[in-house]
Amino acid sequence: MNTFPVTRMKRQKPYVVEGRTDLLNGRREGRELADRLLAQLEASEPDSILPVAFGKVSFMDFSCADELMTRVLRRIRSGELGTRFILLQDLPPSVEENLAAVFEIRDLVCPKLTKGGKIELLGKIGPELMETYHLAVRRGKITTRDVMVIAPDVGISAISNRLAKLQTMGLLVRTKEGAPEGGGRQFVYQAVS
Amino acid sequence: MKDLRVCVPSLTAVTMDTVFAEAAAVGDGPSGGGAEEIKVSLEDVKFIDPYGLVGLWCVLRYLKRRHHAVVVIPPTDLDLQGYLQRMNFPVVTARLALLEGSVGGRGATGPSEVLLEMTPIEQQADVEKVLRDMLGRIRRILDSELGYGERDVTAFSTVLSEACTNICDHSEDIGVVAAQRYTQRDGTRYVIVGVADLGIGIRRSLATRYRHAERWSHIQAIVNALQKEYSRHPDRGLGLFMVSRIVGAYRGSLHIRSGDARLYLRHRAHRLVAGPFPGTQLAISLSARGTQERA
Repeated sequence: MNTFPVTRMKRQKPYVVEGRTDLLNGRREGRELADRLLAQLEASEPDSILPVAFGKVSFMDFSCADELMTRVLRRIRSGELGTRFILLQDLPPSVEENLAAVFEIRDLVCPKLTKGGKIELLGKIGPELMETYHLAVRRGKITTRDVMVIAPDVGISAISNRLAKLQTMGLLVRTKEGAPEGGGRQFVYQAVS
Repeated sequence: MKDLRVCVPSLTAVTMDTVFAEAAAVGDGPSGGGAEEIKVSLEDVKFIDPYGLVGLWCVLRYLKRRHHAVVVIPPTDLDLQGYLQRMNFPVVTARLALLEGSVGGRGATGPSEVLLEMTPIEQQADVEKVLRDMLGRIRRILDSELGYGERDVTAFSTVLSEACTNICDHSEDIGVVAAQRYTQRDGTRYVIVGVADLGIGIRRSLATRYRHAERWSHIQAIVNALQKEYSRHPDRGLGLFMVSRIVGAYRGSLHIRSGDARLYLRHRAHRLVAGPFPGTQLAISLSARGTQERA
């Protein structure tokens, strides 16, 4: 689990994906790219988001995309990397197509930055989770009470589960804060964006 | 001199089974280069698609392993001779067989529908070269025609890349690939990709991970190879799965021949018996989806 960033998540300088050429293919190349990206992530400071830029890639086949993204996202989801996350950006359509296929088959999801500067999700995710994530993006931080505003008919435990699920998916980070109205404690979630 | 006369007029995924079976029968015996010569006559052949081309490469290579020399009598059809020339057939088969006479034919007229000439795949770097050639040509077509979009380019390239990478990762052999675009009378365009090797085949490849795979029939091994994550390597096996998925999305078809079986996938799977022949051969057909479907 990725928990307790002390401050707001910081966006790092983009990491540019570069292979031997602009055409990336095969599992070996995907593994090499994953190893380099993971090393960069490990070296980056905690509570940070590393934008991963694909602007120098003109084509990445499915096997390469699978090896690269599945390895990296699984490491992030496992919590091994602490509160270090990635954000996809500068995605050419051909690269996005195969990344989307990988995410769908592997049941993964990852935030991406569009050309217009908006945050969207690429991969397999239900509408309720998507809506909750976007609420967190808009607000920066959310609690279960915030989610109840957009989902008034949903019970608090179901909302907690929803937030926990987004945290497991590597899309939200949980911080621990005292409850404002005394007693117990409430969790605050930051969007990975 | 032994003789293998190819009597089927059209060499495609369906008819090549016969040619493979005849080659296996005539080439039966110890491998390693016998004393005899063999003549392969293509005189009666009128049409060869990319699968037929890569299949012929396999046949010539198979026969070369068993004979002192292989001589190919080219088709009499001048258009087909020109096509063989354009598809690099004489160059790619030069070390395998002696082509009797020339295959100058009528040469190329009009814009070429060739997407990829016969190209050997010996290492992963060759796959990149294939991709670069193919992408360049598809993009040139894109510039001059409607009907293809970036998604189509990605799909074609992914199919090509995954099929070729399988040669390097699984066959324990080298292979060859070719692709050609066709236009039907009603204007519908489609692409046929042929990919082939003479390696260990799908069943033996899977047997490196699944011990009991040697007890599978060849058709079962092919069916399993199309399943998600059924691979000789853990957490892989998505290559052929992706190819079949794209083929489905493009209203295409997929033939996979390995051992003594051929699986034909179009809407549903058709399991067919083929003659025993080494390696794995793939024919992939994809139709352009058209802009209205993508909208």
